[in-house]
Amino acid sequence: MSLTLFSDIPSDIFLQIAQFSPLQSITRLCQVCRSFAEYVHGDKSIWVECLRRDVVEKGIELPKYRPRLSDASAADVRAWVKNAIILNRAYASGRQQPKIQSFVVDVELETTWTKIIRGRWCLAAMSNIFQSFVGVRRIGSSGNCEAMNKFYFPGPITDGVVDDGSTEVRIAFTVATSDAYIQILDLGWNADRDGISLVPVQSIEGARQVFLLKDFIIGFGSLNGDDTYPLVSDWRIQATKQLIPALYLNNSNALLGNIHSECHAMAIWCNHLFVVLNYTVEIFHIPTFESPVNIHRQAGLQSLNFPLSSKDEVRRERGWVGEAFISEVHQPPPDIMADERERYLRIALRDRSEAVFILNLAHSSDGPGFRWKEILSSDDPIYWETLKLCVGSSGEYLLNLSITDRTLYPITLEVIRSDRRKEKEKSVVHEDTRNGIPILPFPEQLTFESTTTMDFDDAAGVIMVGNCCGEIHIIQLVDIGARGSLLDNLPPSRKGSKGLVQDYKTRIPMRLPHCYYLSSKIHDRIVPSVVREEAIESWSKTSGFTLADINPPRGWSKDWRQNNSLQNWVLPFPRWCTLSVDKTFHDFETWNRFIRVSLGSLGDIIPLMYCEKKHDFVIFRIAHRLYYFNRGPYDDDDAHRIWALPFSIQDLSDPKVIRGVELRMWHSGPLCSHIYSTADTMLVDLREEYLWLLEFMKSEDGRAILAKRALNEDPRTWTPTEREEIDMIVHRRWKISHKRMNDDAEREEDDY
Amino acid sequence: MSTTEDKTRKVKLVTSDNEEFEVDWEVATRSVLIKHMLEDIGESEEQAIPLPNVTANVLKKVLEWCEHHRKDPEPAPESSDDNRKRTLEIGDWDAKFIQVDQEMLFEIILAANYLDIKALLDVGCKTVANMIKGKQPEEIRKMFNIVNDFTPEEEAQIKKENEWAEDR
Repeated sequence: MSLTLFSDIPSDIFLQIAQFSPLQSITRLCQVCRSFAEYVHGDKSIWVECLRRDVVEKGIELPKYRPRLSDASAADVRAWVKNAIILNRAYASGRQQPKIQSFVVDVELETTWTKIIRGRWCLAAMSNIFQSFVGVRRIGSSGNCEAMNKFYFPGPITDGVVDDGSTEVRIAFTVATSDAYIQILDLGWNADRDGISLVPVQSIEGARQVFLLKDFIIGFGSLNGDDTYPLVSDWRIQATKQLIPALYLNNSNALLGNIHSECHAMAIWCNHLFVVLNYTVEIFHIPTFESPVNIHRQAGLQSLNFPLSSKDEVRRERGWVGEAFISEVHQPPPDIMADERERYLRIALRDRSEAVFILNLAHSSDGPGFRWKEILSSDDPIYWETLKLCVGSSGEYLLNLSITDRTLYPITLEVIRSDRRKEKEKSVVHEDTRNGIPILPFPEQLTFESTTTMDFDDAAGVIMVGNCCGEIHIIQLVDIGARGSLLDNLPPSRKGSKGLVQDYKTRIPMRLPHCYYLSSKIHDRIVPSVVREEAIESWSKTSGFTLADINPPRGWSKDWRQNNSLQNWVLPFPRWCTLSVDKTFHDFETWNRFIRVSLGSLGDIIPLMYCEKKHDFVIFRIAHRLYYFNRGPYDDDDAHRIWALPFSIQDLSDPKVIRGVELRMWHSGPLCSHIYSTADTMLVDLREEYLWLLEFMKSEDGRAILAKRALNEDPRTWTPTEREEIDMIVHRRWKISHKRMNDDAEREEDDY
Repeated sequence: MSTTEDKTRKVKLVTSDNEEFEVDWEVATRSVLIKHMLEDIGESEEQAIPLPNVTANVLKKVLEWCEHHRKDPEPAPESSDDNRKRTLEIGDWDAKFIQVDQEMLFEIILAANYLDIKALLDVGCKTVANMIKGKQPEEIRKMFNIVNDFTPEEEAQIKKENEWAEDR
């Protein structure tokens, strides 16, 4: 046997050579002559090798919606390699010109939720007070977007999650009617009508803020306005469990307003349920659901503080979560590469100081439970000045809407690789150094200030941005061309399931409170009687305790018909809050909204009584937590304050309670205040006090007092003597540790 | 078979052009093919092993490599496959050894493939991969004397199709 021409080389040897050749050599070999081209293009094993070596091993993501490697052709595998590499290069350099398609649906509509499914089905929920719908657009093979069906709902869609199983695409979202609920639907392809179908599966009345949908488990933030604990349900049988974080486990009934912590994200991983609260991640067993009648409780297993807390001045404002995302860190696809990497869970969060952190959770190396994979050093936010965050579908990249001084335009959209921190350790990076990749070289193409919602499929390179001016932008980062075969069609819609299928295709009337329709009057401080009665009725009817049960002390009133500041309590509008929940937009600030933004609470804000002399001094509740709102001097919007009150709602039936406590001086420091110039510094106080109160609860004094409160019995049995005791201890400690702040606060009091 | 016997034992190999080589058992069994054949014949007979796919001048070269690598540990089967691919470096001696003309290079590769000497095959393939690396298609054609059978349109087309793999 002799070989005079390289072109006669046997296939197995050609493959061996290819395996030792970089991708560039392989693609150049196929430009040499026809036989090489046919050889390279037709040989799947060459491309499988490239897929392993140049894509998967380098941690580059492949779309999850693709056939198994064994079912793919050589051309498919080559297209996957090509697409992954082009996209990765776009992320690394940012030099690709993205294809942006913008659609002005109706300037009067606000986009409230967007989702990209399987890289090409783009869902956008849009609404105003007259209509609400989910519109679907399909990215075709040429990259052009084609409008598909619209599905109407009786209220705006305020949040949602998608569970993309192989056989069905299931969506759950909150429909914010006057009686909000979570709707679960199946998204499918109806071949008969050549269109998309959205088939309702179940609805959960009274539930809001959906964070998790995995098979039959749904996780959400509040039920009937009560956000005390995060909740999970088996939606098939409507059985619900409250999740009691380990953080509160020993004092679960002692939830004061300044200890309570809101839910921001949920995920199921390693047979456990993870819930992100304000400063902690709480870990639970996955509940089993017994009875649909009673709401049972599920106690937490473990509570992990975010490892960001530090005593130094700069850092104490950090850690209060504004937005959080949980994703399992990608494992190599088992059909491509067998070796297992260490499994961990990645939590991306933007805190209220607008800093972005990436935290990784792993199994404890010794014993059960979980631990932080690494403890962050002193200066670890991977990004600053982030207004809004979105984690790519694979968790490898973040989409970051932020203020930057690098471009002339103030707000830009950038892609950050999640593991950037590793690189950072090598060189010193200043706080303001940014090395995210701007998506748009000329960001003025899009006005990002009005952005309300984003979604990002990082394995397909598709970004969706919605704003409050009725626009949707679909950005394809690279023009990829042939994508190789992918399983990116929608599953066929199921027909003939029980009952008549309501398909939401015709416009339906909205079910919103009257205040939305009369908002212009309310803006002018006129509260029409229909709005007033509606508001008062809604406050009265929420869970158990009603206005009738309150017995206000002298000088206080619960007659809201007489309140001359009612316009501040009837319009929540936070459901259409723009850009970021943390940002206050001052076009029309109501106390209602101020409180929601300050506390970040998910539950209903229910005013209870007000001071007859000052109608803006109000005691309100969220679930069972009591707060005291105190408006600032006129023409100073930054001086409003919120205190958490140390007694239970039942105490309000006893007028002595309120008289007995000098409200404004309770532990002498404001829970929230706007006495400083920025919202950030306000949050410093809140966090500071939160941590400190937790600390107190753990101390011997705190434990003794909590024990006295018969915590595992009725939460509301807190006798006045005990309260005085707490009051004293708290007061003393507060004075010692917070003298300076105290002085500030008191000085502020004098200004009234 | 015991180790002491193996070391002293000689093996006879006959090439396609009927030349006979007598080498140490340890050297010959670098080739998995020869090793298996020896096992088949059994150790009793002193039988020459025919290698109809290898010429004398190539076998000489191959045996030179085997002689130098006679003490190398046996490559572990299948499992080490991944590691093998990752190291693209060639040892100093091997690099010098493989400095041969192109025809001989391909002959060595073919022989290594036929005789099933994985390490040598790798050296050969890495060498070819290194020769191709960074070369333009035209340079590759020139180097290996390959005729360009694309039409200019086809060539432009295929160039465009493969642009994505170029580092820019």
